[in-house]
Amino acid sequence: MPQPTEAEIATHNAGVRRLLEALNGVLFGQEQLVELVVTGILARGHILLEGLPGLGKTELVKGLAKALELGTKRIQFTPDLLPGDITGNPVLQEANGRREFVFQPGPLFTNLCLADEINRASPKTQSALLEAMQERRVTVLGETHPLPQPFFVLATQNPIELEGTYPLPEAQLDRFLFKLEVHRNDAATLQRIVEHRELGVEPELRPVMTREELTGIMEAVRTIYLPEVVANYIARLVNATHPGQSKAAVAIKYGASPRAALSLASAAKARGLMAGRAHASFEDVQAVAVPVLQHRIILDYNARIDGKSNAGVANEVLAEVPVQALATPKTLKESQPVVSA
Amino acid sequence: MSRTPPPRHRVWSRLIARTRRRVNLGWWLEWLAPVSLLFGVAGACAVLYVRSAGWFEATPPVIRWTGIACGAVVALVMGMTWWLARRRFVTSEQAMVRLEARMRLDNALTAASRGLGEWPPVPEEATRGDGWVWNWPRLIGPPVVSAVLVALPFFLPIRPVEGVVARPNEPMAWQEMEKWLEDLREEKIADPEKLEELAKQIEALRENPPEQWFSHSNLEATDSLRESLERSLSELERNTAEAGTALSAMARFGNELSPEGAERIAGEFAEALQGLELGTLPMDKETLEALGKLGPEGLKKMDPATARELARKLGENREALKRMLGQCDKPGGGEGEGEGVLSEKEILRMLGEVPGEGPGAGGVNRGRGDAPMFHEDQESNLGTKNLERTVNDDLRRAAPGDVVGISQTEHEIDKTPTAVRPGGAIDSAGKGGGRVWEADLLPDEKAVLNRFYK
Repeated sequence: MPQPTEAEIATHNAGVRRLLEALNGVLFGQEQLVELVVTGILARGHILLEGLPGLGKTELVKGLAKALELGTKRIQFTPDLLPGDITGNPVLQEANGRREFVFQPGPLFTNLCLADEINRASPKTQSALLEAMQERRVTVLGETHPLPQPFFVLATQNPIELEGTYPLPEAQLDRFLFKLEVHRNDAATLQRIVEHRELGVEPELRPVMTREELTGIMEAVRTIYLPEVVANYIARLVNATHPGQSKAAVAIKYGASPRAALSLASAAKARGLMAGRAHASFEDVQAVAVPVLQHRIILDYNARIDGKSNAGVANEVLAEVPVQALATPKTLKESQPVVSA
Repeated sequence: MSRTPPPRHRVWSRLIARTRRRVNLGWWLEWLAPVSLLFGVAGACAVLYVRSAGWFEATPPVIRWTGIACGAVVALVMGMTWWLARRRFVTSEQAMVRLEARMRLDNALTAASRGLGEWPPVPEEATRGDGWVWNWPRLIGPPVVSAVLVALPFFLPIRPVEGVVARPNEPMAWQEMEKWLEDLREEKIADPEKLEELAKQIEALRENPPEQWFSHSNLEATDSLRESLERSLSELERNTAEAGTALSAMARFGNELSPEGAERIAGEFAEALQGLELGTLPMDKETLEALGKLGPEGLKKMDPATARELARKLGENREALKRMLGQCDKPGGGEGEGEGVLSEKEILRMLGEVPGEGPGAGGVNRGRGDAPMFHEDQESNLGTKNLERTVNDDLRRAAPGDVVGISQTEHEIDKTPTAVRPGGAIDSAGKGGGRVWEADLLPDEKAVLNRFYK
């Protein structure tokens, strides 16, 4: 696959900048969250947003759909939601004197599926998303139906400590590229929201990127150069999440899967392109490591009792694993960083 | 047309080479540090040994050769550690990655080296350093300690141990004989010339190499000399005693003796005098001359006081000789009047003019000479009433029925309560609740639960 030229990189980068600006105009004070969501989209990943109600999760997803000119559908997950309600059901129809089952596509058949409060549905319904998220197709009564391209699931969930929630199964969590935590806004941002928003009125957002442009950027991400040393860093980072492979992993019961390593590489490439580079770097990996790893590790009982969080342990792993496997002689010591990029 | 590499490329290449050199040098020094300490200790020991052996002072070329050897060892150590450290050396590519990671360049150098994009601009800070500094305490500590260790023995006041080499112990017989000769010389008992001759014989034995002092031939010669000297001393003592006895008898009973007795004493005196003069260890010339002037005839006419004085002198000599030979526990232990002077009874007994007393008392007309265990004031003690403890440490030879040991012990008694128990009582401690807390949980788990329920 040919490497993108500098001009192509610049064009793609300009498009991404427009998208980021548009989304930051909808969601105030969440620049880092917006950047990570766009990174996830460009890396062809599904994103799980976690946060308390009212922080703008749904607003962000809806704004993204508008800005990208993508088909979007929203599924409000409830405890009584059935798998067929999201995948679609065969309906008995009469045509030409014959009765036959005709598949009626569910709300999954869209480009951008907003699975709102996904952890309020039963595990059975949650699991109905597995094939759609991984294979990008749906199988009903033995018949497989491909989903439209591109297809993303942007799910939101309330913290699992809240009433009436079901924790997502690990297999499904692993299929989300990022798990992003939406934090509350500070006072200045709240003031900005109050001044520019009105209750019940959705903010207007014009499309800033066509579907073709998005597809082109996603294809370009695949061609971003991943240096061997960066790939080695990703491998050592994921390996270090397994018990016995690092000091921080003493708090981990089960580490991240190879899918996590692939997700990390893909996200790093997307971030490289967003930075206007034709290659990924250590810094890209470090920037997306915690969102990629935190929901893929299962903490030990003692660590959970001790109040450790997945993100905290992922950060410890990140701090422990050096970017280069080579050791430094003890006759040398690190000085202050010479320069930052 | 030659193509000039872009300036940035050249600058980065130089910086990468600098990082590579620094890291590799760091590895080498890290290997060198413990080895230098090791060789420092070994070098210090070597210098201490060489100095204590006096080689520096004795043979100046040793210094030159030692210097050459030290230089060779240092070169060898440096080469060896370089070879060992090579496994950790980094390549230019690894040094480049290290540099770009440290400088947060987003792997721009790696990408540029692959032809992806331009080489990034060189920040001014990068020319001043690459993010690492030397860890000086770790770097210079071991070599300095090593150098101090090697230098310190040069400043210590060390005397070569050659002059203080302990001589091996010489045979005890030499010292014993020398003590005899010294006593004889001090007491003026024997002829000094003969004593000197004997001393030379001992010295001749001593002049042999120390490793031969205890050889079979040397020890045989020593024993022979010692036995000869001991015999000479015994002979001298016997002759001195005989002469002294004769003089004592004349001093005490000179006027009362019968002519035959006086003649007999004079004869014995003459015999003793001859022995003292011609024996293997002649008497001191001065004393011998005085006795020789007296002669057997003079002895009969001798003044008792002079005779007593001469007898006393000979008695002292005899006691000294007996001390040397270990025959007398304490000086003057006899029954006589003074030191070594024979008693009246002894002289008369010797002359046969006093009958013996009691069984086996000696003398010409001595008694029956009864064997031991005869009824006396104190019965013979044959040690038959001593109680002795017998110990049989060799149990292989113990006979059946022998008591091999006694110990104290208790019977094993089943102390399980056997009283009546109420119905429904159980022995099992159960499997949950408090038992799990006490018996099953590890301390870490207990700590976790304590924290949780606090």
